[in-house]
Amino acid sequence: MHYETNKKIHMLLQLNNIFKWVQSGGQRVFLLKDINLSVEEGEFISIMGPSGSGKSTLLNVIGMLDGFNEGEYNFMDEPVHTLKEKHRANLYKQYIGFVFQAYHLIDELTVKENLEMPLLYNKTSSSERKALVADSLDRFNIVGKKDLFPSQLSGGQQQLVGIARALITSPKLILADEPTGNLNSKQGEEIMELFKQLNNDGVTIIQVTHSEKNAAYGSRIINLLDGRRI
Amino acid sequence: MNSQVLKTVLRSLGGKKFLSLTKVLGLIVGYAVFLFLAEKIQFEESYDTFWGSAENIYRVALDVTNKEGEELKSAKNFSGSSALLDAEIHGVVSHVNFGKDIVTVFNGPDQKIQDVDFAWSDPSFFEVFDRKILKSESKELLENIHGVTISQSFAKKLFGDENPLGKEISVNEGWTYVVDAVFEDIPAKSHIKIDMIGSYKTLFYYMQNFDNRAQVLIDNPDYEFNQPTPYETRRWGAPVEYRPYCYVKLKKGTSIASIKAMVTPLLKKVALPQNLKDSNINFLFQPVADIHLKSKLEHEISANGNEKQLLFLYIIIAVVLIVCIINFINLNTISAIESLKGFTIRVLNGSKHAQIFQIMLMESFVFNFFALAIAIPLAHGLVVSQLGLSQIGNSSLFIVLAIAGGITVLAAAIPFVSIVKNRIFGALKGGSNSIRQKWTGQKVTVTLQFVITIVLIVSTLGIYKQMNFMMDKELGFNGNKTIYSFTPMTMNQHPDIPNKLRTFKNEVLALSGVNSFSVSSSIPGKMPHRESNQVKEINSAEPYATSFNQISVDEGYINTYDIKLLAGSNLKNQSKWNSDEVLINKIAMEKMGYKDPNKAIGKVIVIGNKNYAIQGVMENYHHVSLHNTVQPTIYMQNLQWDHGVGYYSMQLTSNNITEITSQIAAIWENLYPKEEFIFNFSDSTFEKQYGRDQKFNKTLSVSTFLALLISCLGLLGVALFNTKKRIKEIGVRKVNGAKINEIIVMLNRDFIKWVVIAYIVACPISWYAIDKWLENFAYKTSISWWIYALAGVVAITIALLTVSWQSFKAAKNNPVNALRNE
Repeated sequence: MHYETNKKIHMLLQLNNIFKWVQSGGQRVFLLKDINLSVEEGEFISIMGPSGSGKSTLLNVIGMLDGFNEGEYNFMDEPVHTLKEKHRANLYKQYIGFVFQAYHLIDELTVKENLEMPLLYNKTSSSERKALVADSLDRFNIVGKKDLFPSQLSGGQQQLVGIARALITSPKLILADEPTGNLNSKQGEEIMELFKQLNNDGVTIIQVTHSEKNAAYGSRIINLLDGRRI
Repeated sequence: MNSQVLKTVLRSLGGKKFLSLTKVLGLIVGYAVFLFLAEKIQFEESYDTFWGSAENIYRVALDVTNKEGEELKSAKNFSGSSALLDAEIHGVVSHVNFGKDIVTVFNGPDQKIQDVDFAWSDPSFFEVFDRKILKSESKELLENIHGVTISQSFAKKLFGDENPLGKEISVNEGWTYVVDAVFEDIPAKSHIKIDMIGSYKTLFYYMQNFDNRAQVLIDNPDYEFNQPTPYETRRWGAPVEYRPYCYVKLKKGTSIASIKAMVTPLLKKVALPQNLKDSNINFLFQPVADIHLKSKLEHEISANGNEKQLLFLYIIIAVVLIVCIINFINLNTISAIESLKGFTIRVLNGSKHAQIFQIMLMESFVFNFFALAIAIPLAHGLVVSQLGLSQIGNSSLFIVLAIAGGITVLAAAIPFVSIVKNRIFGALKGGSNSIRQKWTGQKVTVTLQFVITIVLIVSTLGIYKQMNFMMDKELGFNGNKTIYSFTPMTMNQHPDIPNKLRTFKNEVLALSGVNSFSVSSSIPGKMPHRESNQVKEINSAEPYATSFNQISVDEGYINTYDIKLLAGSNLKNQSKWNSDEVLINKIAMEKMGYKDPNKAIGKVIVIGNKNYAIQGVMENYHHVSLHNTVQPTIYMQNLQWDHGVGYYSMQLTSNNITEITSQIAAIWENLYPKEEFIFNFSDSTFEKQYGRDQKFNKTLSVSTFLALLISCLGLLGVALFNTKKRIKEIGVRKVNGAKINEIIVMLNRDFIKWVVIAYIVACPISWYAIDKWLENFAYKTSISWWIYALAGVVAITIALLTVSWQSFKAAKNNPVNALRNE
């Protein structure tokens, strides 16, 4: 990234006039309508809005898990809307980590194996994998839990593993869909503190949340209603 | 039950088209196979059960061990055997003997019917084997010396709708009979096939009073038919080809064991010939209904069924049914999982669990009903076309309905108990994404299915290899350019047999496309019907320990079939086809005790009371199929036309078959104007001997295909279940960077593991199965490694294709759908 040194502010991604719709009963139902959004590196953004306003859809579009019907999307100066599926997948695998409300750990794998999984898919060598997993266990203070299965952990601990897994490939961007939705308030606070700290370390974060309190951890709030920014 | 239940069920089927199709297909195959095989088994098992008091009819077969220790178990027995039992034992109600023959029947100059099943017997035939006598004049049955009794269908064939009684027909040699009576047909499900019965009385009269040279029957009003008593030597001396099949009918409740015990003491009352006195004689009592499936003796009337094959059918039925039931339950479980949310909503809205079960039951019923509605006509078609029955039996239908009922309930109850009841409130929380159930039973059943499938694939390949082996094996003769025809029947009615034959032979040999000509009593591919255990060396008092087949041939035989001569010379060209020279084959030479073929040349043997000189020794060749070992055979130049129908064989050199055969036909029609020239190729006749094997091979191939189909359906069901269960995991892995192919590999690995385990289990089983089957052949192929390799590759490839499609669908699915928070 030769230009990083030249620019003071690095643009991470940019959405221009994004539309997304589905056909239902012969009519277009808009999920996203004319969304414009620029995200710079190091931002901590909260997406808010009532149920069905398109928060998760927007997050999925940013995460390249979902497509859109119209508009332009540039991620680190790559025009995502023109990229082939495979190229796009490579892009998100390299730069984006996902955190889910329901944690989505694999029940049959231990904590350590769950952390190791993304490294297996990006062909990290065995010795490097070991080192990265050990670092991660250490960093999130879950060394003692490494051989437990997800069902043996509390919700907060599971989400901690979920975040650790999202970060293990050192992404630039973390996308979190209601990361505290299944947690009690104390556990939720701890997770939000962790996000805050990660953000301070330079990780860009976009979270979807219902909670004003959680949104306050971020640097900027985007409000959605019926697929439109307000 | 309300109408909403049925509506829900029908709509939900439409919504799950693929699943529904898989389910119904499996059931159709299962039910159709079951019905067809059940009928086939019943057909085979019901042989000879239709006779009145069939349980009391026994065939008295012979088990004799001579002093050299050679044992013969023959379906034929001495004519004194059953008569002795009847005369001496109170529990024997009646007995009958019959000698079987295949004859050609002439109805006037115009109609000729070949291959008619003929029997020489006694009036008591119908006491033992109850057939309605449909038409009979005042004459006693089979009492008229000039009369015969024929079957209803044969009468129809001969005379159409005319009254057959009093009509004249002639048989083979020109003996003419009057139709005295017509008997109700013996059903096809009998080991006895007889269309025409003449009495022994007639036989002996004709033998004594027919002048063969003049072709005239001499009238002898003083003739009296005096069958010797069973105690006389004459009833125990016949060589095997003249011995009859003997049957006794017992009084109800008579124990066969008590009769068996009496045989040895009874035989002491008989003036047995010397060779039998030195032997150990036993009678085998075979219940008539067991003969078709269980009897495997020498000289059976016709090839019997095979109990092993029946066992095989039972196994297929069991496997197909089990697999079918398991599949259906597996698939129904998946279906229940898909419906789980709907069920939960119903429960939340006040439905009782019983009402949910009702819906599941209804769904299960609809599938079984549809499947039966298609399977029954399908099986009906098969039963009619393959077995020749008019319809499916009620008992089979009843059983299949009972099974369908059972499956209906089971396939609703198992998923209801295992899934629905447990998870009915879980569904709203996590949806079907969170099924975490491990059903090892599924893996075991799929593995089992594949074990069976692989065994069948290996067996099919093994049988295929044996068939190829038999087709390719060097038989020791060459039949691919040789055609043959039956000898013309009218020859027998002419005094100038040799002249006509000589003319035919010379004219045919004069054709440029014919290399050689031969007339013989048997040809390769046809069982030689004569054998004798009374052959001896001229200086020896005792016959050889072995029985020798006898075939009448002329000097052209070995050239026409390209048979190699090891020593000595060919038979000399005899104008009258009657000499005291014989050829023997190598095994006969060895049985006679010579090591060097040259040593056997010129030796004199005695058959009956005539002396024959061994002129040449020929290499062993396979006169009949590779099921049998080459038998010691004597080839005699004595064409007396006294042993039934013979053959003309011609080796062709011309490639223009149509032209050369029409030239031969012209010569034929000129000499034998009343007869049509019908020819066959010798090699195809030889191959026809494997008809039964080919049929078995076909059955097996179809079974293999069905097993494979069902196994794949089963695998598909489990694959559906498995991917459904892991849909969340697949999503998580994809978001974390897994590629589609990596997901497919992960999903397929499990299935392949089961197939590999199945393969390991199947290998020894299939080896055993083929080995058993190959025991039917005297000459067998080896079971090579490639059969196993190929079977393994086929099984894994098909399993992979089946599963990969599901895996691919699951892997391609957008993870957003799987991971969405509800």
